Amino acid sequence: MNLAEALHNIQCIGRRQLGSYFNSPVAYVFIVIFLLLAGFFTFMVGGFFQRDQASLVAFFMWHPWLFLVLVPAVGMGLWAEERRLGTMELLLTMPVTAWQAIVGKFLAAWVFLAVTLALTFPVWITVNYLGEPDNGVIVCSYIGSLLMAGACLSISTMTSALTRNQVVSFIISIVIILLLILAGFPPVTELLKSWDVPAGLISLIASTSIMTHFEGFQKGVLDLRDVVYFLSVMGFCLFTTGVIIRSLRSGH
Amino acid sequence: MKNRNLETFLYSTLGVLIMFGIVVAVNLIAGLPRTRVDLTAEKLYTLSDGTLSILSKLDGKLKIRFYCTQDDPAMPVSWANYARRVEDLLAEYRKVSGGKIEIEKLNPQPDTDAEDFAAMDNVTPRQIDLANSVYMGLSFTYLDAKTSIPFLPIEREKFLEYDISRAIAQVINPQRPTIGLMSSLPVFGMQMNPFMMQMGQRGQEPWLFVTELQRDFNLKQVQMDVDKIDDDIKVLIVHHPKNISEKTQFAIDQFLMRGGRLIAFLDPYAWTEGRRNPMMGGAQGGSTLDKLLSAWGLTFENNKVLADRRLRNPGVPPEFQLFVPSLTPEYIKQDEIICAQLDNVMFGWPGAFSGTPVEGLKMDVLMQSSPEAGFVDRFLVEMSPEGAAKEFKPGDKQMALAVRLSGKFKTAFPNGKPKESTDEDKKDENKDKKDEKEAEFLKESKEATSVILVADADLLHETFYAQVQPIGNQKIVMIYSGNLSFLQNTLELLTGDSALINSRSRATKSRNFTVIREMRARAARSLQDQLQKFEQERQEIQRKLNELQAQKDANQRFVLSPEQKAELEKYRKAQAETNRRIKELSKALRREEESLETRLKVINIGAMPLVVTLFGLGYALINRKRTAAK
Repeated sequence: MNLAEALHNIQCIGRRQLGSYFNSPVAYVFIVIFLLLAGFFTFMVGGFFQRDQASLVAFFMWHPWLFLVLVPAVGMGLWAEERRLGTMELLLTMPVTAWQAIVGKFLAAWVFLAVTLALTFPVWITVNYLGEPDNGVIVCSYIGSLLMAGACLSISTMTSALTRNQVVSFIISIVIILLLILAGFPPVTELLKSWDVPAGLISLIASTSIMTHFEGFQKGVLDLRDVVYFLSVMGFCLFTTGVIIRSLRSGH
Repeated sequence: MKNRNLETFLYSTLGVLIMFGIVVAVNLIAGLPRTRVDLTAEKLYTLSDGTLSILSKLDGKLKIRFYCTQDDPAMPVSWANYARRVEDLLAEYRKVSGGKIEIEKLNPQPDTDAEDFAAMDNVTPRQIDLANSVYMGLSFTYLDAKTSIPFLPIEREKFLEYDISRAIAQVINPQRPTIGLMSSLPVFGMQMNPFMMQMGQRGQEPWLFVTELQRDFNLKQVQMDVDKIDDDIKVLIVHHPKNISEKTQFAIDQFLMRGGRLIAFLDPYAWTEGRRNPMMGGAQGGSTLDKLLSAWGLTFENNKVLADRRLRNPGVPPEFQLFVPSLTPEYIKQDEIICAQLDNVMFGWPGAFSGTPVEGLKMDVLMQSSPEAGFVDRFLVEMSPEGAAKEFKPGDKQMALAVRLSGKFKTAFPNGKPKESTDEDKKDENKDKKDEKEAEFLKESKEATSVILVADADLLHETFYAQVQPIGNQKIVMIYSGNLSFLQNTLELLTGDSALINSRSRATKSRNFTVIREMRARAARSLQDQLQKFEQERQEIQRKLNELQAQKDANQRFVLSPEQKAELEKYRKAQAETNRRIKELSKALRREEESLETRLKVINIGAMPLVVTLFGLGYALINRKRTAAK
């Protein structure tokens, strides 16, 4: 099997998935909710105007929390739905290998998230109208946000393959992402400090957190470690998804 | 079949575990090289090469304590933001050091250990209003050495990295640097000797700058006729080197070749000298380092005094004003570390530098005159200042009063040590020849070094920067211009680590909402107009009242006439009217701001979801039509 064929297959699967997103009203509802929440938190809770700073800190600081709730909603149906409807066997009998299907579906969902993220561009225009922001930092934050969304999505892809119930998948994936956020959330690390946990252990725990790795992007620093972290979370979760799906097939 | 086995093995729980191990390993390996791209406009997270080279000298653990008041409502927002930037930068230091730097953040509150630590570390709080003071200082501990930055003022943010790196360099190498001072003027003071007592003279005290420098440095006097500068001297100050011999210039040249750093104060007319020696009949000649300067490509005319019409100093007698330029910040290079925050430097009968440096040297003009400056011959100035002032014709060019040369210097004596043909030398000629053969001279400086040239020697005398009032045995010193700070800054820079000399300032732009600021400024202006108008009205009414009062009879003076009452009534009305307008204006401003905010909020929160909804509905409608048609 050559690479071109694999890419073609991935593309086909991805397109089908993406089409199914935009054909259903759920996708629009999702985008609308995301945009509403992002705007609300930025301007009402984040104190965008009170900061008097032409930066998007008040916007990006909410992204981990927004993704916590919304990304599992995008990812939960990826495999659970196929399993519930029994179409997974059908999909896998097609001349498509399991990993091609996984990557295709994942990429489709990621593109969907990217579109959602891109639709927040009015806020970027707003800060440029109000002052002179550091646009390098903003670009970097968007890249980080996209990578973080991908990592959350891969987790939710994995939990989606675990069960045929979307709600169960949704809840498990929220739990995992919440753990990953909290491990590096400053109040939590402060709490650990007050329990006399050794500093080395705290920083080890914090280094597994998506929060810690997203921080660098928010400052405008594109660090190889942060990029590798998000990519490796994606790689690992997609691999595990593959293992789960294979074991399902052999179990039948 | 074998292939199949491998696959089942890979896609198993064990495979997942192995994959997990690989992922962890990849993450660890990725942490080793520090590959990163700094996308901030000001490269906030990139430490300079100077800092990196200082950090590479760390052998043991360096502990940095950051004292910062946290969660205190009294702390201004801009300072809290600054504190975060300091923390970010410190985190950068820690990352670069590879675990050799440990950072502790302390929040000194009244009656806590942290407060005691701060006092021990010499970190002091700064008062921000009557009731509150905040901490923002750093302390550095390395082996047994300790140093601190008592307070990080936000105005010095540009130099934050320099300040931190300098403190680290200091704590790594805690010896007091040695500075040589060579001067033809009695800067070290004069001891009383019996001969002078007979003449009825009193001993002279050392100049103020000498006593000030002795606090921070090992100050060593260097005689005007040395033929070698001691090796332990790191920085040499040459102050008004009048009639300096070639031999001594050669010594300075070789000192530079060895990597020494030089500050030279040259002067066409040392006013201080004339005043100090009234018996000798005034100053005799200016000073220069002719050999060295010409080798570097610069000229300094030591018989021409610079006069500046725009920078006149109103504080001195009128006939001197032209010759005592007082530099305001616009004539001082502000982004240079040594000139930072100098708001005034006062010169006295300076000269000026001209010419372009030879290849390999870089020249920065640190201070310059205004365009309305020109030269007057020294002897005219000596004869009569008034006459010299008449002679003066301003030019149209700014002239360099202080410059910095940096780079690798080439010797000004390509033929080696200059020969002097005095009788004494001839006696030792054989010996000298031997010496010369042994003592090879250096032709080029090994590493880049810096020379700072100042076109005036008088400015180091306290008359030009401070008011000294003797009270009993003590002296009260009131500094009014930045001359001494300039010298201290320069020495701090030049005695510091060579890696730091070329460190740049990192300017951070404040990124406020300019649109809203402008709106506020506009409103403030119209408010100002209102107030001014009211003030005029008030004065008018006051004048009328006074007039009416004057017209009245003496016995009616304390009773208000009906006209006065009417005027007073008018006054009250005007005041009420103004107050109302001011209130209206600020209300209008608030309304304008709010409406802008609301508009932006609505656009940002509402517009996009609406567009998406409409798009979705439209798409669905089209789809239905299409499927219905089928």
